[in-house]
Amino acid sequence: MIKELLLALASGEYVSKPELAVKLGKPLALVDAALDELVRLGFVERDDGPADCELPCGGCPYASMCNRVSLSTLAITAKGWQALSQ
Amino acid sequence: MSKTIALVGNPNSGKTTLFNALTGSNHHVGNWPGVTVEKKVGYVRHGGVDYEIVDLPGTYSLGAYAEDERIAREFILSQGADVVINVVDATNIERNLYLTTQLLEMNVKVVLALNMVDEAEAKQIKVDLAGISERLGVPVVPTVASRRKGIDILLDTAADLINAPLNGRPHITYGEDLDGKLARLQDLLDGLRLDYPRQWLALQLLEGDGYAERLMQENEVLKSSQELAAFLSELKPRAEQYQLEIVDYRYRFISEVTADTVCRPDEAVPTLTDKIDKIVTHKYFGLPIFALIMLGVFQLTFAIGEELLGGIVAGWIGVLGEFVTGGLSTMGAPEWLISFLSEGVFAGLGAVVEFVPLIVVLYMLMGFLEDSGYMARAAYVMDNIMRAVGLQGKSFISMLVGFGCNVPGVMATRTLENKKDRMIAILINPFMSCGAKIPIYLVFIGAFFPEHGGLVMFSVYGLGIIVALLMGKLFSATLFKGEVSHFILELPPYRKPTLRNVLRNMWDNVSGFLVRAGTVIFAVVSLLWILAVLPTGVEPYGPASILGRIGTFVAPIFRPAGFGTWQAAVGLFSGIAAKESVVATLGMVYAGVDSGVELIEAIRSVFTPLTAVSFMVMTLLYTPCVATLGTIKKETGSTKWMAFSAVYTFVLGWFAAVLVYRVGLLLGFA
Ligand SMILES: Nc1nc2c(ncn2[C@@H]2O[C@H](COP(=O)(O)OP(=O)(O)OP(=O)(O)O)[C@@H](O)[C@H]2O)c(=O)[nH]1
Ligand SMILES: [Mg+2]
Repeated sequence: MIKELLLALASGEYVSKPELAVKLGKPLALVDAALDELVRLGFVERDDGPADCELPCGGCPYASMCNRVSLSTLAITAKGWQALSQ
Repeated sequence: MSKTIALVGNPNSGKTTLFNALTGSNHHVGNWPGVTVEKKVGYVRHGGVDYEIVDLPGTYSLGAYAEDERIAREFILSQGADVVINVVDATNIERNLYLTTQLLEMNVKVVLALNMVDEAEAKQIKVDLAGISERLGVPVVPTVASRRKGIDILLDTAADLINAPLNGRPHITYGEDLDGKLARLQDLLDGLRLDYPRQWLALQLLEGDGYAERLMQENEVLKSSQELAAFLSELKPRAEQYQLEIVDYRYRFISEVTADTVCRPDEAVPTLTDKIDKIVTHKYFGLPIFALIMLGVFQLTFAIGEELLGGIVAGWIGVLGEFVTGGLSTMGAPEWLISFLSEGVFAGLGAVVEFVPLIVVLYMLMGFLEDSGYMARAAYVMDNIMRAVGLQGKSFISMLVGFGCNVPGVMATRTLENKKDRMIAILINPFMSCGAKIPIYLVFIGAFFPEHGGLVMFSVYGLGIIVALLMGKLFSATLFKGEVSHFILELPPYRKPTLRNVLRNMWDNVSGFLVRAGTVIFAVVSLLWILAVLPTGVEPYGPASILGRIGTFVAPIFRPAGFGTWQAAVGLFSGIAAKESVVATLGMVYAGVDSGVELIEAIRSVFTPLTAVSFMVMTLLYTPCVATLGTIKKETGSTKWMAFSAVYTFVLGWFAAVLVYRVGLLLGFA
């Protein structure tokens, strides 16, 4: 299922982990755990967007508009692509 | 002789709680040698035997990646424990079993303490203990460490296991190919005297584990085997693939162990979030739904902000302005001061500030959408489109930020590692209509389209997105070619928006808006006022003033677009300092104390509905403000790109405005 997960990431078609879990026919908890392990091993990287403090919005009047939308993305790393292509 | 029991488990699985339950106060705390990671050792006497209990650091796996992992793994491998108690969080079995699988690979004696069964029960997670125990080949004891439940049975089980031979373990397969390679590695290791389980070491060598590789370089015994070294260098180039396959088979094993032994209540039924997401993130409906929602937001903004509250602030500004200037002139204050206050401050600044009610409503509605979690879906929908036109999907995050302000919008592109993706995202960010442009649209809507405010605003924002996508496509096809990377989004669950969050969001935005009006815009207005009343002797705010002359000089540029007046020209140029200044300048040059009504009437007499539209298109697209340009320079590290951004947006805005005007004329609009 790990390869299927990576392939799913490569196709970039899935909206959410629950949907991914349904597609793979595996419990969400397992998919969740497997993705985290892939992140730890460096096949996949997680990006939670820029941290609020990274953006010097202090003086900006529209600062509060920033990063309200908390989005976490998972993307294949170079190592992941390499493992897939082998 | 005392026996040693090690507690191993994921972070937060309850190891320390179990440790305390096992040892009472009979323990001491120190550090692992050489590191600051805490080492806890305790003692317990059970069934006439003394046990030393070691609380190992919490880890998700036993690789060689993190300090904690290395400590735990070395302790186990160095035969430091007679038995390992693997503490498993019963609410998270699938995740926790990864570590368990690695313990099985190490071929050590393991008791599984299925902890937090109370919480699992509360969450209606059903676990077949006997089934799991059978498939893993290890005893499983349910515990509630925090209430000392199952502790005695756990100790009994561990004690029994210490004295029993190790058998009944399942065979974990890694697929035919890898199993063959592992067997060969084990054969090669077989003749050597080693302190590690061969099966485990073979697996680590195959995975290209850093620790195992170091062993190969440092261990005399391993170094001596030529055949082994040759085989390893043959395997090495594909280490990543093998590692992935091994992880894959571990999860297959976990999947087999937990299939129909772990049963969660919510699995079969999709949650409400999933159901809503099916619709709002739909391939074809997602975008129209997003568009409809935004149209609704703008319509509501005008319905509430304009019809209910509109004019209130403008009225106050008018009254206050008349009171102040009237008072000053009876007190005999100098003429210039009265002029500055009435035309500069009340007419200019007032023209910006009077839109506060609309902005309050708009940001409240937006806050409502954000707080509910919907905006994350909108981002997803946008992401799909971005990818369709060949843009890096992640750039939508910076675009969303740009709707507030382009300065942080440009900065938010930092998350794009690919330089090309980043350049494109920076260059298209200014087309995201920022908050500072709202007063400009509102003035023109008030003058010409009061009935269709929502629709006009929606169209302007929409046009900005479309232009951004088109330019992005153009850039990615010409200036910066690059591949698109892929990813999964994790969408947060929907929430009921709280009034507090919505109000705070609204207040943040409105107070920011006001602070800006009182500082940056005030400074710009003051400067423009001076230019508008100098030189002395000419008619203030007239075409002969310095401001008027500058405007008259550049105005011809805008004639093809239909708004070639000197006032419009200086308005646009002052907008490069800060976008709100466009309105402030117009308010000042078309002066009057109760500016709101007068400005709108003045604009009605100078613009036509068609030129109003072409002017709005120009303001949407033309050169970003200096703060944004400065940020572009900083983020790209290049004055050239900053200049490019300033010029190409201007040219684009100009062409778009001219196009709108000419096509409009052809279609018979005036
Ligand atoms: N409901 C419930 N809570 C528990 C149980 N065991 C532990 N906890 C709670 O779970 C939390 C984490 O427990 P710890 O003992 O600190 O976990 P740990 O494994 O030592 O965590 P790390 O040291 O970070 O790896 C604490 O708040 C405990 O009170 C249990 O059986 N049931
Ligand atoms: Mg602990």
